[in-house]
Amino acid sequence: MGLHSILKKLKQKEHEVRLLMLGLDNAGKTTVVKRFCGEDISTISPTYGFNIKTVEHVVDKYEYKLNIWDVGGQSSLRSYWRNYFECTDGLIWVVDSADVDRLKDCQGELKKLLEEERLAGATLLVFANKQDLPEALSSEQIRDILDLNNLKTHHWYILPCSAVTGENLVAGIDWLIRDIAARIFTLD
Amino acid sequence: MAKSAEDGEEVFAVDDSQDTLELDVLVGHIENIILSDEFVALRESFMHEHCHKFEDTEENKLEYTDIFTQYTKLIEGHIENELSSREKGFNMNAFQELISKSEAIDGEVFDLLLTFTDFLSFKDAMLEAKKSTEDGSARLLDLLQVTRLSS
Repeated sequence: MGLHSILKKLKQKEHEVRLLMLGLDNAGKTTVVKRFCGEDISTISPTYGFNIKTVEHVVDKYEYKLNIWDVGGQSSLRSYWRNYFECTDGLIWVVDSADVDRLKDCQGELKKLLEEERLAGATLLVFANKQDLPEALSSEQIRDILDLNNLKTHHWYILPCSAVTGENLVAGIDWLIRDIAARIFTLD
Repeated sequence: MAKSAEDGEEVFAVDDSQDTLELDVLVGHIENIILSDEFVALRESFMHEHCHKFEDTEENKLEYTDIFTQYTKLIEGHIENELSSREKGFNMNAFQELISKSEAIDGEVFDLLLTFTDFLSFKDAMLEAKKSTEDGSARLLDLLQVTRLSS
């Protein structure tokens, strides 16, 4: 137990939540975050490092401070993901539902993450993104490919969404926050 | 946040238990450690060593994370060492116990401590340090020689 864990405890009293956003490259992670934060999404280029967004978000009348970490998903960057696991309350896995050829790869990467000890306590939200594209698979199909029904180690939820139209982004984050809040905050 | 009568709460007793006193003492120590010249110099030399790698763009380089990890280890290690030398039998676990029981923890010390573990505050400080080096303002550490008055 170091100072860091003490400070983490203090942050919990402020209802601060740390969310880690991962997924293959071109899944739309940065677009999801920017859209959620109400920012311009017309000029987004691939992320080679990481972005952090801090945003206040009200769920069930409680205000939460969300720290959203969005790390680049290129295969050469994935070995760095582990540097961002510490203190993660919620994992947001973003899937390009139209990139059928890479769904197997996507399933493998998620499976590896869910075996990580430092993510053991994190709630999982899967965004089946790019539903605005006609060739996108449904969230049920994505759920089956990712084998989520057999996932017993984490609380999880999957939603079809579109970072372009904004569909279901708030609904997904709200679910995630409620699940985390029920676990770590003593609501008074 | 100060409690006021508007909160509809009344204070019936003041908590001056042993726990609170111990916590006060430790917080006092942390304050002194953070304000000490030694700590300031430690922090500044770290900043000057690494600040040139930082850029004022929204996207962060992966490299920043390594530097931040080194920084928090340095700061935490220093504070923990100093605490144990100032308070005999100091123990982080016990300190954590005290803090989690304590309700009044909004102090400035803790706000300051938070900036040592918050990445974005760290990045801001690095950019600030870089700017001041680029502005040509001389490095304090190069100009001053710190000498102890007593050994």
